[in-house]
Amino acid sequence: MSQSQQPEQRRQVLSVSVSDVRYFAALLRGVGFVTRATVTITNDGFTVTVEEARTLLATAFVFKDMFEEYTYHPEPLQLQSQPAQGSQQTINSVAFEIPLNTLIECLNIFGTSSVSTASKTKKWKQNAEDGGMEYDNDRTGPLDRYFPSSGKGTAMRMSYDGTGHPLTLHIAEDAAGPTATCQITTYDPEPQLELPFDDKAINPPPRNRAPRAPSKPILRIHAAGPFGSCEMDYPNDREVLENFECEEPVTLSYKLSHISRAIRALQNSTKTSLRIDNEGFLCLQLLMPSPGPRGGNSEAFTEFRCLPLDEIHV
Amino acid sequence: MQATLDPGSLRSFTKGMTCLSKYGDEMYIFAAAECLILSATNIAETSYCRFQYSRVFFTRYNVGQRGSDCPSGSQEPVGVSGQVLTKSLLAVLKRGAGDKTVEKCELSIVDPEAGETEEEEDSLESKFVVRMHCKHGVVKTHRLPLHTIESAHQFTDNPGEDESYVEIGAKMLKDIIEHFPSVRGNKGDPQLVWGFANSEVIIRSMETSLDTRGKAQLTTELVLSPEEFNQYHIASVPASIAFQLREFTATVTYADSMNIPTLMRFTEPGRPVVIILETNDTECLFAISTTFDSMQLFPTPQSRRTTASATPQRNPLKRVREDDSAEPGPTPGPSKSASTAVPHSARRKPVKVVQRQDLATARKPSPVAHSVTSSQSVWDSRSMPPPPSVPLRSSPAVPPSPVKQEEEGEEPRQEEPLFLPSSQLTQLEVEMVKHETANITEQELAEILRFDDDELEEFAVSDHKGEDAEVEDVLEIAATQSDHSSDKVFRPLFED
Repeated sequence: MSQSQQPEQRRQVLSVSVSDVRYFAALLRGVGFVTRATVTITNDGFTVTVEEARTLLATAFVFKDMFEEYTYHPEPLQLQSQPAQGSQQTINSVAFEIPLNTLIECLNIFGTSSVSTASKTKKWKQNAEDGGMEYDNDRTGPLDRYFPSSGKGTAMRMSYDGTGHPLTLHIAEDAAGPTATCQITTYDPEPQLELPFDDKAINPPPRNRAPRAPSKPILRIHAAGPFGSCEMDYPNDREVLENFECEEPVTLSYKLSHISRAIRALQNSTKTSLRIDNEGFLCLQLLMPSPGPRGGNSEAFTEFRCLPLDEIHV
Repeated sequence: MQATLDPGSLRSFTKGMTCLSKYGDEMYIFAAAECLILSATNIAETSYCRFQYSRVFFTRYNVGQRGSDCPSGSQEPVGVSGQVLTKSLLAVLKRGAGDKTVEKCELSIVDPEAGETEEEEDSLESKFVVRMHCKHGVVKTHRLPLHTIESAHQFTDNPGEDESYVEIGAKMLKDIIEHFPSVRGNKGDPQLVWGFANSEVIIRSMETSLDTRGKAQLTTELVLSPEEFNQYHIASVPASIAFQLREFTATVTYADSMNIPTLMRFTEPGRPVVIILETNDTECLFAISTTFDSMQLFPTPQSRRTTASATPQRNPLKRVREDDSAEPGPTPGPSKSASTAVPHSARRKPVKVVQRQDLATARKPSPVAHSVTSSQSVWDSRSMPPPPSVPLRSSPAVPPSPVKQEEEGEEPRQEEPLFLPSSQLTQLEVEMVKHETANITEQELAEILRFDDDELEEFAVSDHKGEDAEVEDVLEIAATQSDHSSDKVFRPLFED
């Protein structure tokens, strides 16, 4: 209500538009195992973060290049009635909580964001193999990549007016068809689980990269349960592991139900980076497919951070 | 036990295990020196399946401790056995068979004592290990717990003199079976009735239970010529058998995927139909119990009332039947007439095809019955006896039919107890019963023992016993009627 009365002062905090929501929906679906997610908006894009059992933290990084249009105006501080408890931080970022499953369902309101992602996966793989950026095989014109491939893509315009306002989505399949307007209630953000990953601890200096005895497995993933156990050994081969660095043998256990949360995102990802720091803290970064270069850093990725179960065995 | 499979044989092995998983949830593994035998049976024990892979099927195969030639191998049958959950093994195998990067697959049974293979595994139970070697040196190891076999299943294949056999190509059989509704879930148990005559073969589906709404079911009938069969030998024409479609479909699918001609052997209703798929390195045996109401295809005078609503297309069959009725089959004749007198609900009950043998009480299949008692005490849990499903390859004494002989030579029959005593009866009781009925065979004795446990419904499980049961029934009814002294009841009527 207030924004209509004061159109000059009350600008939209976030306004994005995209002609094909499939990449965006796939990104959200990868972390869509918890209903409540925290969205943090910055100048370069926004992150969608969920946590489970205070152990697993999954973040989808959505960069602004994924959208055709991305405008972000930091919330004017004077309009907020809150005291300036965190004013220094809120200048650069806005955070709110949102029911993530509702958002995903809204994106799929025409049924076109999920069906096509399954078939799209192959095309993504093809594109990755070809190294080309064609959107579709039979349409290779330079401009075609800016349009939805099959004409079925769902276009979306999303806007957020600031604290206390709903997230508004305008979704349409094509210009002549029906348009859906969804308003999703936002909530004040809960304090987030802080899992700082020690980036320095995982990058050993090059002198430590001594070749290992070939008999020992380089990377072993082991799972055990009441119906048996399973382990997978991966050698340090360029064909298998693009890059592998390990200072000393280490064995760590994680709860499988937490790790398997990443499966959904893993199935869609094109490249995976797995890192474990000195405290056994696992960081899994999944490179997600993105629509193509529109300049700059267009690669979206999802990050999973998980705390280990046991003490570190060194 | 170590066995290595290349990708091609891994795929066919997986197909076999897929078929076996339709038969039962537990897979019984027995690794002999020359072959690996896997068997399964369903819960009702009405169907049994056995896969026997000879060592040439594997690229490498050896049983026993690695590198150690066991000196006592001359006497003791070298072999290991155990049981695993079929589904968990199949899940592993399917993943490997579908993965194009798998270069070889190793199956092995690891004893807990032989801890030199895996240093971190210090569990007390044996493991069935499936190890997939993929490209670029990726190794995927799956360990499944291997349980000791507590009660093995024994299928005794004793074809009679009057055995019929037909052989049909896999593709042809697949085309036939595709016409019949497949089983989805546990809703129905459709049966397949086969009628073999001189000039034609009739296959018809039959639902033995109504669906949840009590609606009538679809019945499909297919008539084909005996010329479609590679071999066609029917001992007594016309013959008809009926059995469950569910497991048979699994067998047909496997036969089609491997392109092995299917050989079906059967004797008479109530005796299991035996299906054999054989290649030069694999031998598969399936036994499915048959039921009794298969006479409907070629109606006999006794069963004609049930087929009063016969469709017109079966009329030519009746003529065939009338021609043949002049010379009824030698053995099935009386048994047929006996079984028609059994109550209809009891006749539907399929017979168990396997006999559960408790390995704790009976160690080895022994030639005489009294040795069962002696072997009760001396069972060392360390040395696992071979499950009785292992074909002993004894040359059959009586060549029963022109079919290949080695398929028949399953067990020395008539000598050993086919049915071992159930837990309710002590050995003494067995001996007592045996003494009283000295002139009946072991099989009949076992049938008697089973009737003690089960109720009247089980009377129809065997044609012999069905006959006896019927006689008993009649006697009882007669007795009760005489007690009521029908003379007094009827006398007033006569006086009027």
